[in-house]
Amino acid sequence: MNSDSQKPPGESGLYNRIAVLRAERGISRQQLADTMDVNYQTIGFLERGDYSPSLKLALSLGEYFGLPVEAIFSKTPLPSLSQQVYGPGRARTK
Amino acid sequence: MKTDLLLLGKRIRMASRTRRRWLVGLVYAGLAAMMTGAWFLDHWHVSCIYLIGSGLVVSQFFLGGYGRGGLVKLFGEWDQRPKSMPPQRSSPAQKMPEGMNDERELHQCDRAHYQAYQWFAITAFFLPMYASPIFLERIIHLSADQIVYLFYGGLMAAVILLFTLPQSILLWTEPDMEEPE
Repeated sequence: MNSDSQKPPGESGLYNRIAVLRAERGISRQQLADTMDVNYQTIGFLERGDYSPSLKLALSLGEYFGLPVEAIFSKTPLPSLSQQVYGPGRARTK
Repeated sequence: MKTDLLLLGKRIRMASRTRRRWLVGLVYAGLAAMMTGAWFLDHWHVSCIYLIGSGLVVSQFFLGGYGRGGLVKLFGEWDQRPKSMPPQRSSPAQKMPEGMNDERELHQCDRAHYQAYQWFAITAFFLPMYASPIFLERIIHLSADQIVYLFYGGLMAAVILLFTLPQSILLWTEPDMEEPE
């Protein structure tokens, strides 16, 4: 299965796309942490799925990335963004 | 939690969990050694004050939590706005002050306190069974003096653990800290 987060989520039981979205926008953990008013360690915990954010933080992340919360966090593995944009057939690589 | 321990003007890197566990081990080994030494010195009659003082010093300069020193950040929420004020939208001017906890760290602090004081509650529950004079005198054959010393030692250890255990649990359980990118 092609997904942004192939690994099972950590302690939180949530899959997320924070690392992909952050890389896509070229921002560091520290920059994101400063914007979200959290420590950069917390961004690492979020990306690894070791921490479930509060509703306030989840909504702030959604607002920052310009996406709904369900596009960032999910209880089931998230499909890769390329797969979502181009469909499963065209996104497949040889 | 802070990555560096500031001690006598020197910064000691403590990002690794192994190092933090060594520190916790050394702190409690040191306190246990001091308690033993104090027993031989004056049977804790006066030295108990110094022992509790040492616990406070250790908490202040090594473990943290109740002051600016130590590895654990000050317990407490960073958002100091009065509760009556409406929630603000995030503004660039409002930054989290250095050395304050964010929501995950506050959650971890709460968990550490819960775990630490849970042990105190369990001990307090079972203590009356074993601390009865019948059990201590007739079953394990302790004299009245020994019972008093046992009570003294237990009380002192409890006081020291009361203000060092939550921080120690945090230092012991938090994983290795990552370097900023």
